[in-house]
Order: sequence, then structure tokens, then C-alpha cells
Amino acid sequence: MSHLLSVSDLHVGFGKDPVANEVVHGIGFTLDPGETLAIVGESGSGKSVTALSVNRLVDFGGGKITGGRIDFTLGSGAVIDLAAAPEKELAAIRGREIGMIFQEPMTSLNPVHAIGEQIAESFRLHHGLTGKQAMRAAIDALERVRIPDAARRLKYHPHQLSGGMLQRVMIATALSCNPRLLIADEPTTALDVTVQAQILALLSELKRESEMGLVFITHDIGLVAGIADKVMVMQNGKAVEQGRPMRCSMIRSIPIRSIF
Amino acid sequence: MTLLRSIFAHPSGRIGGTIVALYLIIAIMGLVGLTPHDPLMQFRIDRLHAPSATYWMGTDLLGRDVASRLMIGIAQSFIVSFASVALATVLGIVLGLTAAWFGSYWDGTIMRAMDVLLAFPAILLALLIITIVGPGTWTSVMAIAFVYTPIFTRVVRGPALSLKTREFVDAARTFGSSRTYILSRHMLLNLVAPLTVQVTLALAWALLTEAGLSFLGLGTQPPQASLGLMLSEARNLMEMAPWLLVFPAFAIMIGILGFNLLGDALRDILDPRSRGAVA
Repeated sequence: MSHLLSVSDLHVGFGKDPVANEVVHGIGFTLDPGETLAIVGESGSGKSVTALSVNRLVDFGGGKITGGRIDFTLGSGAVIDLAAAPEKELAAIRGREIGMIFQEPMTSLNPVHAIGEQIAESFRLHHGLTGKQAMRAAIDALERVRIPDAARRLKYHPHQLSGGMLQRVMIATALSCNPRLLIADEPTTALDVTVQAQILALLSELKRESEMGLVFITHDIGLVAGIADKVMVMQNGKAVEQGRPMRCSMIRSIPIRSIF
Repeated sequence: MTLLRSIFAHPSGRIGGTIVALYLIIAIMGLVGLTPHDPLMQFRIDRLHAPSATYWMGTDLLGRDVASRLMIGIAQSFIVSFASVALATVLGIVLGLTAAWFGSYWDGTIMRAMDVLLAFPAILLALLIITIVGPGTWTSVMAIAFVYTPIFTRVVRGPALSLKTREFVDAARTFGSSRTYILSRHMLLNLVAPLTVQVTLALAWALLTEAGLSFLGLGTQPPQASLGLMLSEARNLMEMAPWLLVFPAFAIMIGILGFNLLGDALRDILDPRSRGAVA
């Protein structure tokens, strides 16, 4: 059986000469449905670039995939190489098959729109729902991430909600189309510790409910033990360690040690 | 509605808003023909009549009622300024957004072209265009729009450049939103505040430019009336019939004052720093 996501020998570079300015040097990993892969590493180790390459958002930041394959199994069972797919196909896959949440919930939502509309956006795009139906679906999505009184909250603007609530909204938006893969780029870094725990619990619950794969990026190695099935430690654009969490060798490979 | 209320809560907004509203009413009355006399009718026996109960602002050399002509003049000037500013806004949004979005050579080409246009004094550039195309109401609309497009392009491009890198644009991409959708829903709506202020201020300049062009005989053509044209017709009779000059001149001055005060108020009201958040 093929994996949900299988990345092999991925090279990503930036700028006019992406081969010379390579920042990710030959990363490879696999992920099965219902599995969580944690990518851990210090700042600048290439973990976010790796994750952004999976849904090819890296293209918009001036990056380019210079080598390797990203094989992704679609809901229909077909396997597609995302590294080579044209932008049109990617746009249909983003949101529908691959969801993403970002580090800063405050800035990931547009300040001028009510949150309901922002959630409804992806229902309109991918399911062709009309105004009322999309709003109804948005209420369900908010209830799914355990936001109480969802119907009233739909009309709130981002500045009226707390960081934890906004991150729930982001998760609701990312999960609105039941993606098979969710990429979470440091989803709890901007939140305080108690909210962090809630969001992590919510993510694992939602993952169990829908059997989706989760790529979880963090620089907080403490979170990894609780949430991950697999860990990849990155340093300088290379995977320095891969395996199950909390092996002794992994603790030794925590990048900070190499500085001393 | 909340915007209207905050305009009237702001001291200069109250004055500016009242003036602009008053001008709009006068302009509409002028357009639908609710003038004291027919603005084109020549009352030959009452030529150069001083302001009186019959002729509130006197009559001109041909015996036409100045008050009535002032009303359709204001209407004419407003039509030209609103049309040209609307055109300039649309052009500026399209050019500025695409320049910021696509960047690179497209950005370079557009912005250098805009710099060249900005280097000319507004009235001179408008004169050049009208000299080429020929005078008339719609030519002056085109010319004024053309002259003010660079300003709108810059006003849009600056914030658009910073909005483009905001995370919610990335987030919209992760939902699979198309480029047009991101540009119109996420970028443009965040630009409404600076654009509103710019539109109000541009209306004041456009009013002045239109008056200038008509004064030089290149805008509105006689026998139609516009504020600039009335000034131009009055300037030889300044000593004999000062009312011919005073009323249109004041109309221009107060109108521009109104737009500027309104613009100032809008800037205060829509400034996110003074309000916390743009909602």
C-alpha cells in the first residue's frame, strides 16, 4: 500500500539561482493516514520550508523545488507528484486535500472580514456552496473545533477574539473540507501554555476522528513526545535524526548541542 | 451609517460634511432644473443687474441670472470632478494592485511611468492632453483622471506591498483561493481606508483643476456654465460688476474647503492607529 505522503530526496532553493542557494538538501520522509510526523529543529534549519514545499506555497515566497519527489495519495486513490504538478492542480488540492495552519492566528485571519465569512470561503471555493449553505457549514466547522455559541461568533471580527479562539478558527478553516493531510507550522508557538495544551488536545482528537495525516512543525521538543508518532530532527537543511520519539540518540541530536 | 455618524461627531467632519452635502443638493437642484431662472435665458433689459430680490446674485453681460448659472456650474464642476476621480481611482487600483502583486519588471515599468507623469504639474499635463485631443467636458474628465492616476497608483501600491506578505494572504492560498479572489477580497478591502481619504482629497484638487481648465477655455464650453468658465467671463467686468466674480470664486473656495475638511476628518476616523482596529 502506498503512503499518504512520501517525500524523497527533496531539494529546495531560493532566489535567482535556486541550485546555488539551496536551503533544504535532500530531505525524505513518509507519512501514513492517521499518523503524526513532528519536524523539530532550530530556527533556520529548513523545517518550515520543507512543510511549505509540500503544498508548494514555497513558490510564492520566491522558492523553487530543484529536485526530488513529493508523492501524495489523493482521496480518489490516485498518486500525484506535487513537486511537478502545475499550479492549477495545486490550487484544487490546497484546502481540499491539504490543509495548513500557521504560527500566528492573529495575522493569519483578515482583519476586515468576519470570521464566518473566512471559514465559508473555502466551502464556496471547493464545494460550490451558496451564501446560506456555506454559513451553515461554517457553524458546523466552528462547533467541530469546540467553539461555544458558534452561530453568534460567526459575526465576530478577528480583533474581538482571543489568540486561542483564533487558532481554533484557523483549524476550523483548514479542516473545513476534510483534508487528508494537515500541515501545522508551529501552531502553538504564539499561544500561552494552557491554551497550547487545549489546541494540541484538539488536534489529536480531530486527527483520530478523521484519520488524517498530520505534519507538525515545532522547535519545542517537549511537545513532541506527547503528540508525535514519528520525529524528524532537522539541522542546516538536512535530517540529522529520524525515528520514534524519545530515543536516547534523539535527545543527543538536539541541535543546540552542536554549538558547544 | 456608523461612518456618517462619526463624520458628524468630528469637528471638521461636521463642517466639511455639511458643505459637501449642501453642494450636492445645489448641484442636483441645478441638474433637475430647480433654478430661480432659466440659466441660459437672456434677460436683455436687466443686463449687469446688481444682486436684488429677483436676481439673487445679479446678472451677467448677457442678462443671464448668475445664481441659476452658479447652480448648474456647480453641477457641471461636480460631474467632471466625480467622474474623473472615479476613473482615476479605478485605474489607480488596477495599476497599483498589479504592480505590487506581480512585482519585478511590471512593477518597475508601471511605477517609472507614474513617476514621469508625477513630474509634470497637474494643470500642465492636463493642458497637454486637451491640446492634443481637443476641448470639451469629457476630454477634461479624461485629462484630469489621467493626471491623478499616478497618485492613486502610489496610494494603492504601498500598502498592497505590505499586505501581500501578510499571513492571511498565505492562509488564503492554503485554502486554494484564486489570485483574483485574493486581490479583490483580501487586498482591496484592506485598502478601503486610505483610498477613501485619497478620493476625498482628490475631489478637491479635481474641482480646482476643472475650474482652471475651464478658465483657460479648455474645459466646459459656453453657453454651458462651470465655475471656472464663469470666472473667466467675469474677469473683464471685475470693476463694473464684482458680483460676477465674487460668487463663483467663493463657490470654488468653499467647495474645496469642504472636501479638504471632510478628507481630514475621514483620515482621523479611518486611521487604524487612532481606532485600534479597522473593522
